Amino acid sequence: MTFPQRFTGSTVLVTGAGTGFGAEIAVRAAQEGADVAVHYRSSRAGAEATAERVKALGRKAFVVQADISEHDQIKRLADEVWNHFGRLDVAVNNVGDVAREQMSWRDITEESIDHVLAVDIKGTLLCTHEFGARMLEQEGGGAIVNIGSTVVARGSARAPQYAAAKYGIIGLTKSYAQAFAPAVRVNVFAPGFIETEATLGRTDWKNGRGDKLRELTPMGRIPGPAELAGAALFLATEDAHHITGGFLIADGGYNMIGA
Amino acid sequence: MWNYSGTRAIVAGAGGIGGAVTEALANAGADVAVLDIDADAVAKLSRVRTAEGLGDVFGVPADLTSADACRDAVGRAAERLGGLDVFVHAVGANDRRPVLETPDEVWERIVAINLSSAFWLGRAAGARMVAGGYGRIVYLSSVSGLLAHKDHAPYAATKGGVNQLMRVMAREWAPHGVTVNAVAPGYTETDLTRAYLARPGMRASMEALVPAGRLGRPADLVGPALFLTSPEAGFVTGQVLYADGGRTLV
Repeated sequence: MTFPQRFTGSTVLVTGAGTGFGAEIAVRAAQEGADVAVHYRSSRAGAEATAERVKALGRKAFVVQADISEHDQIKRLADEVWNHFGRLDVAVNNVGDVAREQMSWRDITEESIDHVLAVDIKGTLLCTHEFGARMLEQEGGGAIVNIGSTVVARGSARAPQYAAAKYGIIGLTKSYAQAFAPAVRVNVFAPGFIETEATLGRTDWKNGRGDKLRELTPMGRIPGPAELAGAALFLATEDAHHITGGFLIADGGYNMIGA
Repeated sequence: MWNYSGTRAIVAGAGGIGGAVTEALANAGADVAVLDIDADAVAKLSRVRTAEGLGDVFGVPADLTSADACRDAVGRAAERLGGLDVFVHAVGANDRRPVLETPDEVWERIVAINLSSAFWLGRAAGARMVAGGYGRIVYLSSVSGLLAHKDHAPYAATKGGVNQLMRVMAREWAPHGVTVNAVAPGYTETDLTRAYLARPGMRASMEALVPAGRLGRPADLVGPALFLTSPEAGFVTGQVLYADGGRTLV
């Protein structure tokens, strides 16, 4: 497939790009002409593998580590990216904690709530804050895509803290979209379930949850991460130049309650 | 830009937004049939392929307030195109007055143009797409389908209606490879809004309500509309994509 070249000459940062959806977004940005900053927290080997895929496409890659639950580390992350590239056109805030190990609301712990909210809400908010503030200072502004989830449509009986966190991302996105307009656009891309390696490895997924979710999805299937990467990046392209504070779901219709 | 060579598209509505989407599709290689009652507007958009990679554009004049005319127009267009992959509904009329001053005929006219044509044309297009196992349908909705603008009752009701029509079509046709979505502009500079914006102070007061700091232009809707017809939006269905400069935030 010949992709449009929407990021020629651009620099793109993807957080959580060592594995899964983040890795595919980083590679897709490179396929469309971007140099890519590949952020990771603990998946160093994964981040280096993503960077190799970017370089194999003839683009530059830069690997950077940070724990985005801490403000100081986000500031350092931003400084490193700007020092390395000189500017950043697009930030995709993909890092999120879905409390994957939790199988029921009954198993919720205060520790898990604190961690999910610290990563998903505080982390995404401060990434938006720090990256956006720097983009406002550079010529041409920039675009930020925060990765949400279709979980906001139905909630999560499994992990309520996860659904709450993804709702928080909508609120912070709308707020910063207003604050940064018009130079920096901020939007949410909300995929549904994605068959990443992490998802496919989940016990509940193997025990019929995958089949159940396919039944609940009007389009009748669950995509892999590469299929959705271009849609996530659309919100950061010039084609979306008049979209800010927006929310785009790509879930095959799963969010349509009653479906 | 994706390559649309071989794509067969119908665009209903030859106004500012429909015209911009038509030109973008044809420039990307699609053949496009334009449906509108305004034969002059249709003629202006029509052209034959002028270079490799460009598509043809031809008009199908039709009264979109008639169920029979809508069915016939889609049939004639699809026959000449040799099939149908993309349908874009960019039809809209407005008549600004308070609810208490809105006569029956205004209500009925706006409902027919904006909402009934969306049903009649979408049904005819969807029938072909479902049979063929593939299709992309995009409705031009409006922020008025969500916001409570005064003096907009028929327009707002029809755009909210289009959103729900779109969602049910999306639900019904998802198993058949057909996605149905909407793009919702904010206040856009077209023939539909020109006289209203010319009123004293109106432009400034409208601009003040848009975080992007300006009113919309037809070109703002081209990227979002084409995105929803592109391969990368294949898993997006039943959505309203607001391309409004942030208008729905304030």
